Amino acid sequence: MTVLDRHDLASSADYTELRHQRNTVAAVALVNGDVTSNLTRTQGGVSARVWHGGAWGFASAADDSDATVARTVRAATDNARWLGTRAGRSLGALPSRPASGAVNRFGTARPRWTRAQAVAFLRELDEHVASRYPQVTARTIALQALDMDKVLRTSDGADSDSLIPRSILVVALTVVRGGEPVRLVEVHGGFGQLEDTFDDPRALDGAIGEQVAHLERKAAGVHAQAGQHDLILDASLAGILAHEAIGHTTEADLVLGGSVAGDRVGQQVASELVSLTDFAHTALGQQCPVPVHVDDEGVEARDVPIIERGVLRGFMHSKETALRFDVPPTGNARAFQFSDEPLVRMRNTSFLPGTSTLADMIGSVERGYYLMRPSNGQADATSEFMFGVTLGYEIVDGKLGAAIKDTTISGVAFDMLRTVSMVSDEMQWECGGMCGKKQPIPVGMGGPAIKCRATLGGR
Amino acid sequence: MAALDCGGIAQRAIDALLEAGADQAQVLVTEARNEELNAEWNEPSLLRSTLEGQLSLVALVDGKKGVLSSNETTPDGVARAAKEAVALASGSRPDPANAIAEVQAPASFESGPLEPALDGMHDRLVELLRHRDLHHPRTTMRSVVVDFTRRERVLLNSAGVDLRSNVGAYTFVATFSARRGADTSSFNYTVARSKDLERPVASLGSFERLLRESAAQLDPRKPPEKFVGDLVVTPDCLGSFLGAITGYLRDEALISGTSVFADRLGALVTHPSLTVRSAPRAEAMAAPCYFTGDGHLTEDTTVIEDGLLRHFLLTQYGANKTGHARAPTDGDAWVVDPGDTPLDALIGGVERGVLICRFSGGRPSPSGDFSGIAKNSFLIEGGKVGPALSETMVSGNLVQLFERVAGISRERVDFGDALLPWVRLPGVTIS
Repeated sequence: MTVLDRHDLASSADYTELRHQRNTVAAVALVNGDVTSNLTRTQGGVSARVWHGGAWGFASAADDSDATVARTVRAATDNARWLGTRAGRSLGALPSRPASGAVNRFGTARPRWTRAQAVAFLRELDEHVASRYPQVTARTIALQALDMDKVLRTSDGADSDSLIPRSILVVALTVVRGGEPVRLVEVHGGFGQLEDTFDDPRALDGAIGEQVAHLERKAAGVHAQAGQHDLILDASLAGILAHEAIGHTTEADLVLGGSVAGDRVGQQVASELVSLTDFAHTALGQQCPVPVHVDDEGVEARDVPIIERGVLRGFMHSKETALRFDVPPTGNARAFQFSDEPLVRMRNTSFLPGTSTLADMIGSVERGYYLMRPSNGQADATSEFMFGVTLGYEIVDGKLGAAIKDTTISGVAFDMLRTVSMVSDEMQWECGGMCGKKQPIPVGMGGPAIKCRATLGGR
Repeated sequence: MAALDCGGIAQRAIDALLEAGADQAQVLVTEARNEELNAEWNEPSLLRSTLEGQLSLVALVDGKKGVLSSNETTPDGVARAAKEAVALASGSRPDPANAIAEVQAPASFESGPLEPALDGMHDRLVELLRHRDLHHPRTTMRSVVVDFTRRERVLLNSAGVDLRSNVGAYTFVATFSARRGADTSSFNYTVARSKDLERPVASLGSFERLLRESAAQLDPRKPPEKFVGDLVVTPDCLGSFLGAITGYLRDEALISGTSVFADRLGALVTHPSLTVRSAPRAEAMAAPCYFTGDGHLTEDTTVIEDGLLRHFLLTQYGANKTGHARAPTDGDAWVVDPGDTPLDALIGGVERGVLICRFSGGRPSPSGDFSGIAKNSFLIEGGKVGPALSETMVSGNLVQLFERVAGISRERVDFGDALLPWVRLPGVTIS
């Protein structure tokens, strides 16, 4: 029994949810061999959210005593009443699809690493880079682990207990060419706690060697030519396209805010080669990087097919947006900290694989670019997207040419996706970044390699 | 909900850290009270109340450093956190640059409202939504947040530092786009801060100008062709460019040796017309910052003066590591000195270019190369602001752009956490 079980959520409010959550972050960073960051951060507490009279009230507190929980529920109820009285909205009852008795904890069964073990892992990796690649002038190597541990009860009968961990290793290497620093960052890992994600630092030797080789070619590389080009987006980069270009545009709260996707359900918005789904926890028989079985409104999470063979099918929903669209909630309401309210968020958004091979796709391009690694990205209500590209190569007559310097890709998703002419048969998941939308949150992003036409920044 | 005894918790944490084996200890205890009114889709939607304590413990053991941050502020929570911080330090590596702040005279500060005026917040929120109804009916407020935050901070260390502040302020955030039939404009957002609720939200920062421009962006055009022209960077966009440039002055870039400004202290790094200050205590700042995160009193600091680089933005660790001076600021609260050119004349001098209101792009490279989309932006031709732009990529090198500043406006926008003018930067590839 948790502290939440001792509180009766049946009240005079229309709907109440109560969440007990603890996020734990462990972060260690080495810069050129020195430990520049060595921290653990825990944020835990209880929050309540109440829906009454068409308005939400939310309150949170950092301890979990019975008195605090009761006070927090009362404060959230008071807030909902205070605003509901003034807002004068009447939207009806929230839809309900509660998950009951759900336990989804993905913690390691192995002994936990001490901090000294984490530092030793990074030092071995760093010393390998320093000794094997003296041409690398600056090294930042960092481990970042996040555990999101939640217990949830709702007045419509949901109860859920989950632990979703993520661990990533960031390797940022710099060389200097002609007095100019050139950097390439690679991110390893994803789902799982450190002990289940990383083992032997030497297992990364091959990946580090490839990173240095790419970096040296990038240092000798050229600026991309600014303008529209034929592009092959590597599978490791297709996920951010799924996330930024389509994902955000089809979050129901953004649709209500005016997203162009709102008018296009049932329409052909992409090539027939394009299918895209926001997976809840399992895709093509494999567990996703951010497995969400129950969302933070207690809704049993289901996959959301967004584009099927080029046709826009639907949106991602919370309970409130589902009420407004008169559809069932999809389990996309997620909160980052205990003190955050759930928002409509993606979970694991991915293009589905096709039938081409990457080699054939590159071979089909007369003049264009092969883009391999993304950095940050952003979406828009117009479906115009952009994301940074930190590694890519020219393609000339179907063969890879010179590496290119950092650039940015952009396009209008519902135009650009019509240009997709090949999709590879292999897909890849990425889970290294945070999606930002009032709150940050880890998301999975996946896809196969894609041939399309879009705009690159450059000279 | 009960307020925390931040000073008592901080002292207990120092004692616990030393007892657990720390040679030196530093503690920051923060209590944040937050009342946040939200509107979604043009209607009030959520009232959110949070009260949270936060401990940040630094332990130094044999020159090794561990940092433990937690929101458990009970005596047991503090004791556990202290032991954990010492364990973290013990598992690390020694570095002679690790240090806590040197002793300074105790100081205590207070600023702004310490309690929220909830009815007043609601009135200002509703007033903004009505303002939209009346004056910007095509614009949908995707979200509006009217926030009150009071943050009490106490920083103590084993060398005798005792710094305290209690600062309250209001923050206003709006995200919006315009809609006409099936046409949608790019979303835009703006943020302003204030010590009070005396003025309508629409009159703060860039709110009114950006709401007005939102509907004007319903009929955007692609740029006519690829060309090299001028950017007139609005105050809304200048902050993101400054953030990128000043990143080269911070710990990671300088410690790793990748900063393009590493050996440029005292040298001309931008056009001489540019003066950039970090002013955490300036009157313009709604929520002043009185001491840095690593335990030093702040000072308003001129970072670039007439184009000359006067100060890196190093923490104490970064300063010890590089041999340069520590910055008496966390490196925010930006104030850029005004120029002597009226805004109309600044734009009037541009033969061909872009009035860039928001930059959405990849992170600039260590050498300053950047590319990204000019969002919510307008074409400038023959000195006049023309149609809104879509699918417009701007590319160049930030370091070189700021060497070529061709004008700074007399007018500035006061955001409550920054005070910034319009800046004209020639030589950008626009495609």
